[in-house]
Amino acid sequence: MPAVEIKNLNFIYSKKTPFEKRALQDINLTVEEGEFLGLVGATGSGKSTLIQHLNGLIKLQDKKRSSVVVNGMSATDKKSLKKLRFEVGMVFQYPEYQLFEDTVAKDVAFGPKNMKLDKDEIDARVRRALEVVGLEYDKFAERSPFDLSGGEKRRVAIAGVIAMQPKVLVLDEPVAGLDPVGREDILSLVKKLQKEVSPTIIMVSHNMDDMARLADRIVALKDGCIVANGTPKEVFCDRKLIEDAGLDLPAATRIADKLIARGVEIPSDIVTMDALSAELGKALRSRITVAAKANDGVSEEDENV
Amino acid sequence: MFKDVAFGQYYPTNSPVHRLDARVKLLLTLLYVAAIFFIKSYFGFMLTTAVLIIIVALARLPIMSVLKSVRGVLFIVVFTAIINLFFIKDGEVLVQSGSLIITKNGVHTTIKLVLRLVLLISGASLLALTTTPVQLADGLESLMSPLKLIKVPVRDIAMIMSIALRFIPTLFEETNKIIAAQKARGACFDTGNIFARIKAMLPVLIPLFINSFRRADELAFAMDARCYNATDKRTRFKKAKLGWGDLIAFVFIAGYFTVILLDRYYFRTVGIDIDSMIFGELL
Ligand SMILES: Nc1ncnc2c1ncn2[C@@H]1O[C@H](COP(=O)(O)OP(=O)(O)OP(=O)(O)O)[C@@H](O)[C@H]1O
Ligand SMILES: [Mg+2]
Repeated sequence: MPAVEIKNLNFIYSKKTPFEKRALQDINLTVEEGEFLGLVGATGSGKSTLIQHLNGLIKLQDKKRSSVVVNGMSATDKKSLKKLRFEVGMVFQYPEYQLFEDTVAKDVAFGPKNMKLDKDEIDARVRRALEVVGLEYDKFAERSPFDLSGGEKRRVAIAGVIAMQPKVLVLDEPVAGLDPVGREDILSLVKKLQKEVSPTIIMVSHNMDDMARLADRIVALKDGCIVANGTPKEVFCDRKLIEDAGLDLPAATRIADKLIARGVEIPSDIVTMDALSAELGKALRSRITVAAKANDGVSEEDENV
Repeated sequence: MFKDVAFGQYYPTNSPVHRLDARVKLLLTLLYVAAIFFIKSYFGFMLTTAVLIIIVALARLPIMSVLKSVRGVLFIVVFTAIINLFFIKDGEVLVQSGSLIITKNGVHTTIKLVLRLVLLISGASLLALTTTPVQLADGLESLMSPLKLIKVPVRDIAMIMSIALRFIPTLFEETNKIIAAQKARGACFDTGNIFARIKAMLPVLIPLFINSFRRADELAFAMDARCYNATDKRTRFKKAKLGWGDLIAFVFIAGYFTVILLDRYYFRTVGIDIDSMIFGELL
């Protein structure tokens, strides 16, 4: 059973007013359990609108034709709505702006409390969530979330979602506004969360390098339509599509393109820095051997003379 | 774009009415409202309705958008209408059952009251439908500027108004975002008694306040950094200029106002009664 199944999803903001805006158009999308799905697209392409359908924050506009099913639960079903919200953890853009309690531990406990768990279970979950996101429980639990650094606040906010132990974790630009080290930290945290808490991850990002490195599959949106759906290699190798969708290429791919243009013999489907350095290593080694052979030839000729 | 106008009812069509100077629209709306209180005859109401329809057509607004604002106050209209209908006891009796009396006078007063309210609301909503909140604030500032003479800080008031207007949609959007985020953590805003509901709003209100203070700080820094001060030497980026359209609009509404005044104070004294000419025996 797929973790997420979206069929014929359409969405229009401010329907029947002069501000009418079609945000999603005939979206069909399946996400398998255990998959890391990267959602990319220019600003305004409908990514946030799409993910908010997953836990019923936005209601389906055409219930007859379209459907959104997560782990066998329909997002239109009022009775299972609460359960659905706990099943799909949603980390919004700049989640630190939604902290509200006076201590970190209380804020993280907000979700589990709403799940009506008993006190011991809540405490255990808060402790574990904070440890998973890399905040020592004893050091942070009693501090005010508003006195923390930006990166720490974001971890607290993520912990608040993780504490519900959702099966599907959705993150809307989790590294926006962080410094390079903070970004790396959060990204490796997301990978860790996939292993330890939520096997299925859907992540929105504008950074193609991160996407190429992390995602199993990339879905690109443009003006509310899915224009690409495939592995990072498949998606980024279609240069025309990437340009049409208003997206970037990963840095590794751009460097590879330039090198190829200058005659370096490496494959054109490189999307990560790791792959690039490996291929460059190979190319360099083969050049050295060629040069060495040529050199050998030269020296033999020298001897002949 | 939708963000600029999420607050208010602005309905963009770029018609000649939309392009009128906001100050002119404000003054003419005042004139229109005043005129409505001078109306006494059915002819006056018909004329006003005609004027309103002409403006709506010129503004290329769907009639529904105007009626929507009437719907908002429908309850008040119906309520006052019923009170009037049953509590006016003088004049020819039309219906009587027990202590309930409906008189001819009561019916006329009620009909006129309803017409007055509906025309008033529709006219005022035309202003909001065709003018952005920012234009309105600028217009108000300009109209209030004589108050500077008596040391009213008009510039400050205007700046406060523009900033407030500017941030209402932002706050609105932010509130929605926070509500979504807390809902995603299982928060529930629509169950329980009133106290439970107020308590449930705390997870929304607290971040909203904290973010607003942060934003206010940032805005103050940004304004300071650009040397903002509210002295009289400040000039405008967008200068409103009066045009021919404004003159025509003025003549149109002033003409309407004159006819209403004539209808009330003059026509009858010289023996012209338009109402009975139109409706005859009906009244
Ligand atoms: N509340 C709203 N009312 C009206 N229109 C909206 C609303 N929210 C979003 N839109 C519009 O719907 C479209 C899709 O918006 P959405 O937020 O889903 O884009 P996005 O892909 O998440 O963009 P970003 O990368 O900037 O976050 C945009 O054109 C946006 O202007
Ligand atoms: Mg978004």
